[in-house]
Amino acid sequence: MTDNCIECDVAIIGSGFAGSLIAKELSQTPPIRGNRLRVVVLEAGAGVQPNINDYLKRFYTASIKVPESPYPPALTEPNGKLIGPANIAAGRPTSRTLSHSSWKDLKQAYLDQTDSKLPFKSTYERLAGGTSHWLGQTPRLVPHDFQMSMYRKDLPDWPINYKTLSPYYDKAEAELGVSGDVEEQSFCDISFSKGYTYPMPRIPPSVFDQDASNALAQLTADETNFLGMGKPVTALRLRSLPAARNSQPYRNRRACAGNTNCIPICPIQAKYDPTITLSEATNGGAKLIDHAVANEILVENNLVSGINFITYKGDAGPQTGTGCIKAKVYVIAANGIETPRLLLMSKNGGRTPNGVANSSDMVGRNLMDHPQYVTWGLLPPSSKPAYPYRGPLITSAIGDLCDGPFRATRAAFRVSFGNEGWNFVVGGGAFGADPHVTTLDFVNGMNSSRLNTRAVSQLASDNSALFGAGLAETLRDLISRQFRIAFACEQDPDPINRVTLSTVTDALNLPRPKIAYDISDYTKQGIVTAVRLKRLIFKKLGATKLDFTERAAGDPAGFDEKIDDQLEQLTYGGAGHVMGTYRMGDPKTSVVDSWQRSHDHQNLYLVGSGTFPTVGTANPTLTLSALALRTAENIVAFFKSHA
Amino acid sequence: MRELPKQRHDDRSDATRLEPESFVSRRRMLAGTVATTAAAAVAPIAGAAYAAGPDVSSPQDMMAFLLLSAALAGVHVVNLAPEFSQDIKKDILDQDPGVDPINVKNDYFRWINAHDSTSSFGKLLQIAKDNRQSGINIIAAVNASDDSAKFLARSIVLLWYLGSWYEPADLKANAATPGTRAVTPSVVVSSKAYTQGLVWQIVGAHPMGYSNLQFGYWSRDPNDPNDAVQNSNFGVITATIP
Amino acid sequence: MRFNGPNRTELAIAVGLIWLLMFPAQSTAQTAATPATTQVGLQCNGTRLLDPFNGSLAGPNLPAGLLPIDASVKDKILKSGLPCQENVSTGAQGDLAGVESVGLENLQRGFDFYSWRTFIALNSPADGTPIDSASTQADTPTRWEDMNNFKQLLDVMLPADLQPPRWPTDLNGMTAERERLMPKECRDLHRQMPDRMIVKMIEESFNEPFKTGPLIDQNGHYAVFDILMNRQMFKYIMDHHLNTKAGQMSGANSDLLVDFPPGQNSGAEFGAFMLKVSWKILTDGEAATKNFHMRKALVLMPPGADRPCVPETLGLIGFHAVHKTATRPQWIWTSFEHSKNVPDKDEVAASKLVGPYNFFSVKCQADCPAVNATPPTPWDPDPALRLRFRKDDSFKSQIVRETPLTDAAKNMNAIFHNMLPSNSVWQNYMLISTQWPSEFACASLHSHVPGAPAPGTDFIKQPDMTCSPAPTFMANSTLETYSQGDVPLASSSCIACHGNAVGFQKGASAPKPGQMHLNQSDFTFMLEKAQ
Repeated sequence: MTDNCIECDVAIIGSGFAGSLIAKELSQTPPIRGNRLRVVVLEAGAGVQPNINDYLKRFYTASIKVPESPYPPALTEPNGKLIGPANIAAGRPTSRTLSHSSWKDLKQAYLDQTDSKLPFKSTYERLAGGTSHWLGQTPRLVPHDFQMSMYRKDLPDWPINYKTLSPYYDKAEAELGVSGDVEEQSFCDISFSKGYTYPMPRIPPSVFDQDASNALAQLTADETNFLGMGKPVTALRLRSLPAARNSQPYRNRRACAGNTNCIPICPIQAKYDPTITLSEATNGGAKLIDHAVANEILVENNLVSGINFITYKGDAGPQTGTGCIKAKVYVIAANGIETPRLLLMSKNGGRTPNGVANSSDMVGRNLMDHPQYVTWGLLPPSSKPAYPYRGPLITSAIGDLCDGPFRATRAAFRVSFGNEGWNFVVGGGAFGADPHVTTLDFVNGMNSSRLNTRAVSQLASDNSALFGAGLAETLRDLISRQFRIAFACEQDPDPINRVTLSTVTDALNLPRPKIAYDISDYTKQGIVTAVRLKRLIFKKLGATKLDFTERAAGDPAGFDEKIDDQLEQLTYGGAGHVMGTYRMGDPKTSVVDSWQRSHDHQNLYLVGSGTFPTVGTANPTLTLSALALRTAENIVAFFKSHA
Repeated sequence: MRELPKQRHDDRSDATRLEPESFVSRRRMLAGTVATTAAAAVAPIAGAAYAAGPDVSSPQDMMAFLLLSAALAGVHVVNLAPEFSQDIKKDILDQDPGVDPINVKNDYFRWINAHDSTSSFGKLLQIAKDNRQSGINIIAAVNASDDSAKFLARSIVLLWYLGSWYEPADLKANAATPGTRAVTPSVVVSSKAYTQGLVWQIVGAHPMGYSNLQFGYWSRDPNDPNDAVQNSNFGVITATIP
Repeated sequence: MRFNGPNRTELAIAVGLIWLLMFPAQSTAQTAATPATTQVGLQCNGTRLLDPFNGSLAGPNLPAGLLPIDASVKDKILKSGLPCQENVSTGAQGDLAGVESVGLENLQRGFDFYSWRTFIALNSPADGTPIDSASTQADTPTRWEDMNNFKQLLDVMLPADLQPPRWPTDLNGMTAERERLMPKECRDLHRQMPDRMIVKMIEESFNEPFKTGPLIDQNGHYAVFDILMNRQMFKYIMDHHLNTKAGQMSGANSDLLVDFPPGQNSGAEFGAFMLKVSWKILTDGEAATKNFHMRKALVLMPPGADRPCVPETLGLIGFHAVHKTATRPQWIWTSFEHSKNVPDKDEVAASKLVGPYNFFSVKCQADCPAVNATPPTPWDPDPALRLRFRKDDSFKSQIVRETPLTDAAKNMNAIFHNMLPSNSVWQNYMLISTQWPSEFACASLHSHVPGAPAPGTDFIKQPDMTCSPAPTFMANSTLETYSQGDVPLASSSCIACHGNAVGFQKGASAPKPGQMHLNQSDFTFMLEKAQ
């Protein structure tokens, strides 16, 4: 290690949501004793681009438009051959490597899941801006989410409550630019600061949202008893989901034009992504070093003394050199898998054999996602069509079921109503995406979608292959009635679900993450209730006989449950939420405190959704952003008080 | 979409616009892919052999391609070639396909030519020329032709609908057993092609990632209840629904 | 500003064109408010005028014998004034135009001709002198720079304590309003030299749209951008209270379909017109070459603790002119640039560089900055450096035009350069292209039955928003420097991008069946600048 280290006040590893927010806060802090804080951000992947021409072109020309499709590093060579993760310098898990033939194949999958019971299905990006492919939903956690011991004694409480976090939620919503309505979001005990309004008015609901809400407006207590809410539920209200998506011009960005492409990339940047905040941070003096992979955290005398990193060029390497960074405060913001990976990799020549910041042995443990139970169907010919592929991907959800006495025995869930038809669900995801699959069925006499039967298509024969007006009309009729509904379930923490280090490496010779993952009965019972709710919703929509939900053959996440005498083949998808792996709480059983500061090392902060002890049902981005802003405050206080 | 594309382009207001007889009203254009019967009594072009192969710069070949595509896709020619307008005094094959700013028809013609490994494109164009009176006859003739032509025709429809190319051989393999559930490989022709895919228009939407609509449109019905079906977006895009 | 009566009547042509009438009020300070006329500000010429040039301009070479342009033709065109609308044709119906073999090229030619006429008319001297007069200099104030004709956006979207903006028709009134809005930092300098142009900077004055980055010239200075509107746009904004955020959000506006008045030949209506210009800070040496249209100016730096008011000589380098017409409700988008801004990529590849360029170094070797890269951060101007980007001038943008001009645009440029005097400063300016909505069978999800929607529906009858603009992409190397390209939505296209412009109307987020609930702002981002 050379003495030619970069010196600064705060070193931030990772330029995603948490890293960029902290970088911006610190770089805009007024001088402390005459000096501004010098902030350096290391980013493993590509830097900020002058425009999104390349990303969008990659997306448009991708034959499989998965969340990672616009972003580097490239997934395939020009001839279509998959690039193996051993040959990529800063790799990441991808949706294309979650099939039953690939998820345990180390030549294809970045994550080593060879010893995992069930697949961890969420993916992320590693480049400036972090997981910019996010959908943009920004609901808050509800008050009881922070206090799950009230339902189950064995569950940990957060060392911070909703009330304390609330002003940081306000601040995060302003920074991200959230559209929402206070009255509409005041459910499950959520309250807002006095006089608070969201930065922008809510995104209006889609036509299907409105129709579904009408269909669910009159329910009987008997019908909804199974939800275990502890009180009669006679209506299920669809509420607009708060989202970091402009409904008005906001900070020089355009309002949403309904490109229906939030995942993976908004062509007009109406959806917030962290490059916006990162650019403000660098405009304020923070320095960004891209293509720099941190590979060891150095510890001396119980404090972090430096971070080593490897530089490389291109997408896949080769390595071009090494470097190190010395700061007074270090922030690891590399996400819920890469952060524990870095901590565990840092052995300090054997002085920290279990990794850095790991006296609790909790680093990497309690890996959690929001397993998604996804259902899809056709609206009956007699009702108004669903009009998919219009508007943002999701505009409304049922949130009121996210809390209740039932949490003692089964996981809670939120119900989202998609605006993208059967885009990613058609045929259980096994044959490609829609509308391609449905179109192909009726041109080529196939039936991947299961729509090409007389009963459904109302055509003269099964497996019709059409040309002409008949083709256009059939597609118009069927596709405009497609809808999908997803149930995002809470997962409870289990120390057996964890991130460790694999023996296989990436192109920089660093050990790739190894995953052990399973979902508990608690979560499975949440999914079971979701199935019952699905049946009720489909019934109210008139779609009971038009339920096309299926599980792809060989789906590694599959499990079967008998529900009301009906055997259901179930599965779950990943929500893209990577949580729990360096949780906050008390020093014995957790890694950081409520400021996200390591219990073991006073000058080390670990930020992001890895600090969540429990996960509720809300998308984690807003909460991790609020926590990051609170952490920034703590860091500033640290500098103010230290001479 | 407007009536009479050519006429709308000039700068004069409706009051002063001339209406030459040679331009066909939209209503008549919607009545099929070809001119009305008055101009339709034309015999098939006999014994046309494609020594040189289909030629993108030949207006006749392009018109045949547009007729073929319109018939197979069930979409009006003017959606495939937005600058197309019809002079009923001339045979349909002698019309001017026009040049529009996007001009995806030329991209597709070239692509099909380049990927036509069984030399069936010429055959399909001939079918279109021989049956240019009737879209239904074009479809029947395509369905009756050999597999190479038939599956190329399917590739062409998918190209217009999705902007992606599915090899005829892959389509044939997956069609061998009716009702197959399988992945069919494809390649996106270009960014432009993806944004011009027709299936999205047909369902009243837009390609994911390419909306030219405005904030809030999704909370409103895509169709004006005032519009009769043939005037609705769908009616305008497609040929007459029998 | 004098009214040049006799000269101009001499030039009236047989068809009886309506001449550009300059507003006669300014001759003496004692003149009372001028008699009201039906139209204020710029007048336009409502006579249809197609280009008279023989032969096709679409090919690589100009038709033989076309140049030089005959003197009488030249006169007619240079003095034809500001077009009220585009005059274009596909060539059917016996029009003069129609010499191009492709309808699209015919129309493009018509639009390009209209664009040059507009450019000439707007850049003609404000005092009414013809643009080709011997007395017209590089620094002669132009019509669009005259406070009677165009007003800067920032003088309309004022902070609450300075509202409402005023645009009187008399010189005294206009001067008083200018004084009222004079920034205090500039007052002293303004008094010393009252004729200087005032440019008040905000972020968008140095940072390109959507914060894509600033542009730094070969002297290490920021390029400066400004936005202006004409009286018709101003009137519409004031009539509908769109000049404040609160006004836009008021109940009265929740169902407003923002619809700026269109220009049209019939009635010689000018319609709404907006300008976006880019300026380069000229050194004394550069000013002496008289290769730029230039103005002495006071540039107020962007908001911050310290806002120096910097006297500079500004040279015009980019000119977006946008005109709404009755037949083009998506507006017509024209762009001109200084000919020496940047080389295009073909020229770079062939090493056919004819420097010096304003934003490209031909001298740099291995140390050339990356082509079309944004400057290093931080981007905000440092008040201590005034309008220099870095103290050591260590960064200069290296910009290349990604899409070379079409032959048709180059030929139209050659024709107009031939018509202008050889020593005119306007020889240094060229048309990039004109983007216009072709309305060719676009993805139109709108009603086809004209008239109001039936009660109980909220179906919106809007003009098609993007509808196959021609050309599909267009970028000015100084104003859309970093978004050049041909990727849909990501790369610069005037109409595609401006189609997303919205204001602050409230109703759009809480749609009620049967009500309109719009917030589109008719292709302008100006409304979102309301405070």
